[in-house]
Order: sequence, then C-alpha cells, then structure tokens
Amino acid sequence: MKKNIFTILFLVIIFFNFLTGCFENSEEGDNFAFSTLNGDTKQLVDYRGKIVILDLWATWCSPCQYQMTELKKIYENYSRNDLEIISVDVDTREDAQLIQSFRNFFNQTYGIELDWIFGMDDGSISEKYMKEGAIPTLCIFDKKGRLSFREAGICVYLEIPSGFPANTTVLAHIINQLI
Amino acid sequence: MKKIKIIIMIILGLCLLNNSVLAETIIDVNIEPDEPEPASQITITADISSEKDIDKVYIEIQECKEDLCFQKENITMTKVNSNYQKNYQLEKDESTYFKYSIAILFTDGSWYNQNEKTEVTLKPASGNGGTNGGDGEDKNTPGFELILLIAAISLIILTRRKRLG
Repeated sequence: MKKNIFTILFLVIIFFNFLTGCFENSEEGDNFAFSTLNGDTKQLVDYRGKIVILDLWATWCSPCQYQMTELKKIYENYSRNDLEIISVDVDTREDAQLIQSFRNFFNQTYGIELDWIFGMDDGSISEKYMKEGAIPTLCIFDKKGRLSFREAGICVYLEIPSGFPANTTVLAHIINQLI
Repeated sequence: MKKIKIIIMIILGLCLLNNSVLAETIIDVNIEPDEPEPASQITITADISSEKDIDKVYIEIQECKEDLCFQKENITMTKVNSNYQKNYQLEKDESTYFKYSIAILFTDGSWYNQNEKTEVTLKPASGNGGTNGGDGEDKNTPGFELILLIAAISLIILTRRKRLG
C-alpha cells in the first residue's frame, strides 16, 4: 500500500514538472515596451505570432540610414502576417517630431517611404539589446518572441553590395528559417 | 497720409523687434590636431558669440566607422578665457570618423542646438614600426645627427692639425 502511494506521488510530481515545463516553454520569449510616434505604448508581446525585427538606430547615425534601405526591402518582401519591423530610436534626446522629420527627409531625398513601426526608447531597450554600444543593432525575434539573432553593424537583405565586406550578414536566410 | 506713415512705422518696428528676438548665435569650433587619429586625445575649442548670456555649453560626440556608430557622448565644455574648451579622448580604435554638434544652455533657460553635425575624418593610425620623419615636430630625419657629429669631429681634427702644424 505504502509502495503504491509513493509510486503515485512520484508519478504526480513528474507529470506536474512536465506540465510546468511545457507551460514555461510556451510563455518563453522576450518582451520590451516602447513609445510610438503618436504617444502610445506598444510591447513586443503585441506582435506574438510574427517575426519581429528590432532595429536600434538614431537620426544622426549614417550607417543606420543605409540599414533602413535594406529593411525596406525586407518589409516589402514579407507579409505583415509573418513579419514586422520596429525601428526604435535609442537616443533619448530625440523626439517624435524629429523622427517624423527624418522620415519625411528620407522620403524626399531617397524616395523611400519608411512605413513600418517607429518608436522611441526610454533607455531600457538599448540597455538590454544594444550590442557593444553600437548602432545600428538588429535583433530578430521568432514568432514566440525569442531572441534568435543580434548583430551590430549593417546587415543586408539578400545581396551583398559591391564595396561591402564579404562576411556581411545576409538576413534573408535567417528570416526564412524562422518563417 | 499720416495713417500710412504710422502703419509703415509699426511695420518697421515689428521687423526690428523680430530681428532682435532672433538673436544670432555664431559658433566657431576648432579641433586640435587637425587630423586626429583614432583613440587619440583631441582638444575642442568653441568660440561662441551670442547676445544671450551663456550658462553651459555641451558637445555631443559620436564616433563611427563605415557600418556602425557608437553611442554618443554628451560632454560639458569648460570656459577658458572667452572660449569653451574640452580635452576629449577618442575611445574606439576602429573609428574612421566622428561627428559633433554643440548645444548651448542660456541663463534664461532657453537652448540653442546645432542641427547640422560636423563630420571629422580620422587619419588612419600609423603602425609606428619605424619613423620616416616629416610629419611630427619631434621626428627628425634619421641620420641627420650622425652627419653633424662627423662634421664636428672633422672640424676638431682639422683645427688640431693646424695648431700642431
């Protein structure tokens, strides 16, 4: 009788651990909050079920501008059901008005509409995700919000332009794997 | 006619008022050395002329290379005589250029921010494997001292010979 009770208890504990393990796995995933240009607060969890590319940038960063031309290619090549791009300005002194002016400037100068999600950081995102204190830093979160990729410096979508180092990261492979 | 004169006077007055409100702030920045190397120390001197009284002057510096920029630093400049100055240590070995802009806080609480950032290209650091001379004050032509020494010794020998002769 005692043996049976111990066996049942043992099985219950194992089953409970298994359940909690499954539960934790499904909830696993990062989260961060940012302010949108119209003052709303959004979170990474709002985009669960989609791959999210987090682009850390600032208006004064010239390489970040080139990065945006590559992000535009990605944005146009994937469905909104699969992928979202969030460009978060990590310079806390830059406000929504400045970012909007930058978007207008970009459209007028390069004919490229930066039409994905733009936001501002309160310092917590850069602290958590910026690599080596450098921008642009790109982070890619999978559909469950798990950080799958993080790199500082320009990454390209599909083809490495001439003049770029041969080891420049191509994002298409990484995104396609996650999709 | 009198009314027209009054209107013209008012317009002129408004124009003058507008000009005085938009008091110009002129900033002239000098960086020493002219062509700094990465991870070297630079001296930034800002000559600022403004009708408003200056409380504090800040300089924002961002070091960059081709594919990325490092997080910027906001530094307070020190008043030295009539200028504002800062000795700043460039941090990154791999930087190829840096950008800076000046921000001024006036005593009335208002701000002036330079919208345009100035870019300064960094001279690639020399390997310093050997001195070929030329670009530094301390770097003399190698072998030059040897020529001087030989000339001095020859002169001494010649004068001694003449004395003995």
